[in-house]
Amino acid sequence: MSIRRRDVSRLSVGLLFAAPWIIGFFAITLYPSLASLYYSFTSFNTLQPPVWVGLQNFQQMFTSDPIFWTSVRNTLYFVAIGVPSTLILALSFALLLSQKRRFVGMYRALIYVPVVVPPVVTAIIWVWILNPENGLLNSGLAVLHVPQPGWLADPSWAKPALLIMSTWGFGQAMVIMLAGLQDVPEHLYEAAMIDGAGAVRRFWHVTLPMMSPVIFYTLVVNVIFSLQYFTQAFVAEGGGNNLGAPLNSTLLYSLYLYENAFSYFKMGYASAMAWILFLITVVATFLLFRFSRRFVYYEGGEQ
Amino acid sequence: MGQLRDRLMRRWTTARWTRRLGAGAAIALMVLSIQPGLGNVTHAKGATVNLVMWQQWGGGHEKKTLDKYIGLFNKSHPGIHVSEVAVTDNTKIVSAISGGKPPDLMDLGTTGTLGQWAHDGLLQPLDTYIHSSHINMGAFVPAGWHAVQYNGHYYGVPFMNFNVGLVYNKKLFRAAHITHPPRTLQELDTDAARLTVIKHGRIVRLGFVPDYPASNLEVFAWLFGGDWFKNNGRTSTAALSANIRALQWEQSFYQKYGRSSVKRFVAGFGQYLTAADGFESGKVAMMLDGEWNIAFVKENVKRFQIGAAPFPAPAGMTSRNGTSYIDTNPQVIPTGSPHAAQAFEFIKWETTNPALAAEYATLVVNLPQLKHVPQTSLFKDPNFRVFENEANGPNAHQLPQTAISSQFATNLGNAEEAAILGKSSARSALQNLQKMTQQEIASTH
Repeated sequence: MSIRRRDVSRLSVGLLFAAPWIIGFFAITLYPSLASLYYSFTSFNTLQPPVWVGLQNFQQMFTSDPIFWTSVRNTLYFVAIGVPSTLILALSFALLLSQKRRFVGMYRALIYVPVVVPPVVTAIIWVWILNPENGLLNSGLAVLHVPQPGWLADPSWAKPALLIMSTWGFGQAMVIMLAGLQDVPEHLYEAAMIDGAGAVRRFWHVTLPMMSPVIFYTLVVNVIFSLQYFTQAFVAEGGGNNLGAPLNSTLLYSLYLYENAFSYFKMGYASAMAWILFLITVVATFLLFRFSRRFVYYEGGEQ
Repeated sequence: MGQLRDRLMRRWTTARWTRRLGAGAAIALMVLSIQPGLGNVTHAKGATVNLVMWQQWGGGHEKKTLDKYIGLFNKSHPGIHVSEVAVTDNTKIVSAISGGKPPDLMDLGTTGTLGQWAHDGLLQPLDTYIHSSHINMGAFVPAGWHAVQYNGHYYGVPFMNFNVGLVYNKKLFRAAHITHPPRTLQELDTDAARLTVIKHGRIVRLGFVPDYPASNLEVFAWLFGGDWFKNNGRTSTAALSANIRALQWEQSFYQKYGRSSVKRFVAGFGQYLTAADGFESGKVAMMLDGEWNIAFVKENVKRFQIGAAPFPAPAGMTSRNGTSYIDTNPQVIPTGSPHAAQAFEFIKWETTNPALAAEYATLVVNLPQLKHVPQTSLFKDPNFRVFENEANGPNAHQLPQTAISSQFATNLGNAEEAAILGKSSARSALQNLQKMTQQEIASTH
C-alpha cells in the first residue's frame, strides 16, 4: 500500500501541529531522563566530564549512606500518615459540602483556597503559625493550657508539623471527591432507603463502593505526590541553608536528592537517587493497582 | 565584536549543551526554577566592558559601602563598568556556573565552600593573574591567603578578613551586677546563669546559647585544645578527646536549661543581624560572634552598648583565651567568567589599596586584609581591638580547604545538633563524624 499524496500532506500538517509537543517531549523530557539514567552510573559534578563508575552510586546508597535511609524512612512516614489523612479529610468534607445547604458554594471555595495559594507562600505563613515561641498555633494552645510543642524546632514534632502543612492543601482531593459524589446514582440511595438502610449503612454500602474509583485515583495521585514532596519542606527549613533540620528529621527523599545535586555537586549520585525514587514510585503504583482489584468497583466494568 | 563571537561559540559548543541538558535531567523530578543568570547581560557597548559582580554583603550599610567603592572604581576606569547584584543562594551560583552563564566575578562572603568549589572546577585558579599583575602578596595578612588556598593554588584574593570573639550586652551585665567579661570558661558559665531570666517556667532571657547565632563547635574544639584535621585535610581528627569535651560543654547548657525550652526560645528570635535577633533584642546576653556586630548594632539599635572580649578558655588553659577562626571575603572569578582579565583588574584595585581597606573596614567593621593601613577611628575602638589582637595572636585558627568543605560543615552541624538534643552522646556523635568525614575524603581521591 502506498501512501497517497494527500495523506502525506495531511501527515505533515499533523506533524507540524504536534511539533511543539514532539520537540518538547524529546528535548526536555525524554533526553534528560535518559541522560540522567546514564549519569546515575557515573561520577559527575556538572563541570567536568562524567566518569563511568558502574553501580558504585547504587552500592553506596544501599550500603554506606545512613542519611539516604533516614530520608527514605522520613518519606515513607510522610506517605503513610499524610496520604490517609488527606483522603479522610477530603472525603469527610466532600460529604459535608455535598449537602444542599446555604452558602455551600462559599464553603467549597474556602476549602479550595489553600490549593490556589502558591506553595512557597503557604509554607512561609505556616512557619510563622508554627513558631514555637510566638506563633499563632502555640499562642492558641497556651490559652487552652495545652502543652505547646516545638513544631519545626523539635526533631520529634517537625514531621507532624510538615504533615499539617501538607494536609492543609486537601482541597484538591476534596474537589475531585465532590465531583465523584455527584456521580453516585440517586436511585441506589432510594433503593437502600426502601430496604431500611440508615445514613451510616448508605455510606458504607452505596457511597463508598460507588466512590471507590475516585478514592483510588486520589490515593494513587497523592502517593506519587507525597513521595516527591519538596517545595514546602524546602522553604520551611530556610530555603536550603538547613535542609532536613532539625537533625534530618524532615530530610525527605527529594530534599536529600537536591542536597546531593546542588550542595555537594554529586549529580551522578543524585541521578541514581532519582531513578531509585522512580522505581519506588512505579512499584508503589503497581502494588496499589494490584490491591485495588479487590476493592475498587467500576460501574459497568467486569466484576 | 570578537568577544561576543567568542562567547557565542563557547555557548554553542556541543559538549556544553550535552552537559547542560544532562544536568537538567537530574532535577527532572523536582519542582525547581533556575532563574537565568545575570552574568550574560553584558553587552559590548563601545569600548566599555560591563562586569557583573555577585556579592554576599548583608545589611544596608554594607551594600552602601560596596556601592561607594564600585562607583569610585567606575569613575577612575573608563573602560570598565562594574555593577553588583546580591546573590546569596549557593544553588543559584552553582547552577549559573555549571550552566555556562556565570557572573564576571564574585565576593563569596566566606571561604566555607571554596575548597569544594575549587575541587569541582567552579572557580578559576588565580595564580597567573596574581603573579602577572605583580600583587605584593607580602602586604596582606598571611591568614587571608591561607584561607583562599586549595591544593597549592589560590582561588581567590582576600578582602576584609573577619573572626569571632565574645560579644556581650553591657547593660545586661550591669543589671546583673557583673563588672567584667568572664576570664575563664567556668566564669562564663556562672555569668550566663546570672544573666538568665526564667519566669513562670518560661525562658525570658539566656546568658549564653552555645550554638547561637551559628554553630561554633569548630572554635570550641580549638578552645579546648582540639582540632578537626591533620595532614593538611587528609585525616579527620573529629573524635579527639578535646573535641568531645568541647561538645560536652555545649551539651551542659542544654541540660541545664532544658533542651526543648532552649530550642523553642531560640526559634522565636527574629532574623540574624536585625533588631529582632536574639542578641540585639536582648534575649541573649553573650555570644561568640564576629566584629561586624559592632557595626550592625550601631545601625539597628539606638543606645545598645556592645562589649567585646577574648572568648575565655577553660581554667588553667588561659593561653587559649581569645581562640577564634580567621576567614576572609574571597574575591573569586568563576569558571567561564566572560571578562576574567578585567574582573581581576577590579579585584586588584579593590584589595591592594591600603586607604580603601582602612575606610571599608571602618564602615563595615571588618579586619583589613592588608597589614599596614592608615589608622582610622576604628583602630582606637577597644571593642575592635579585641578582634584585631586575636587575629594577630597565636590562637587564630583555620580549617584547611578540602574537597568536602561544605559536606563537612553540614555533618559537623548534624553531629553537634544530635549531641545537644540528647539523641547521641558527644563521643559517639564525633566518632560518627570522623568516620563519615574519612569516608568522604577517601571518595574524593
